[in-house]
Amino acid sequence: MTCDEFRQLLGDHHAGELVVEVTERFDFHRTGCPDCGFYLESYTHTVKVMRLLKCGPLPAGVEERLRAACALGEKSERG
Amino acid sequence: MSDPPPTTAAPTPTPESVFREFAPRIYHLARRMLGNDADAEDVTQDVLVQVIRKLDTFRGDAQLATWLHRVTVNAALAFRQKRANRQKRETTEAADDVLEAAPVGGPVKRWNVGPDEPVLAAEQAAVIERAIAELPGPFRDVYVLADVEGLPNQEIADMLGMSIPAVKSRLHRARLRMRDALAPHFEGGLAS
Repeated sequence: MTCDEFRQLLGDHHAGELVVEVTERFDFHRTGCPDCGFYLESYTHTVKVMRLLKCGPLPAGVEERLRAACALGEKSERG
Repeated sequence: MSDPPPTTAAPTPTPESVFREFAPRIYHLARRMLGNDADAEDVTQDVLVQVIRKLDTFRGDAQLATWLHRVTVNAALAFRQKRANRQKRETTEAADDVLEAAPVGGPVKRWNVGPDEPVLAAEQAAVIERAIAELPGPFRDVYVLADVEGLPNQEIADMLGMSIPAVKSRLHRARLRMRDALAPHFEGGLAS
């Protein structure tokens, strides 16, 4: 397995969708190639860290404008 | 735009409760998909006005949350399509070619991250948000829905009108791009 082939399999590996034979070749390459081992770690971290992104509050000014628009929408709905 | 699903017995949400609970979520999902604060505000306004008009058809927040997710995605896609039509550029077909994975190059540095559950500092979150905003639109849609919102591939495929293999392909390419964009920041001392 080449480094390119290894990286193309990262998504399926992360999803646990590699078949046994390919997993063996994948793991064999990883143990023999420190660069791909580090790359796998960083890929996995990239996926994990995204779930930590917070929604956060609305930016200043946006809440007021949205509330005004919603109030108008309600008013027009009531006729 | 899809109609709200049928109702079950639960309290009807009020405009105020919807605003407090969902406005920030709608806004941030739209902002991440569109990569632009002003566009996100327009989409949030459209979605909130729609939902408030249909509030009496909902019973309970869970049903509303699911519907809002879908309506927000549809509204963001429609907004981008309208803008693309105006600007006569950015087609889905072309976008497939603009996110080729970087070729395997020199040595890969180990990231400065601990083995435990990561913690995200504000500075890191800002770096990540910028990197997401720089993904091409169609890749960003799949990426945000999958890795930020945590939706399953099947649901993303349904929402975006794509096949599951296409979702997986875009997600993988977006992840590689994100990984490469974050590398300079996480290889150093920024990561916790």
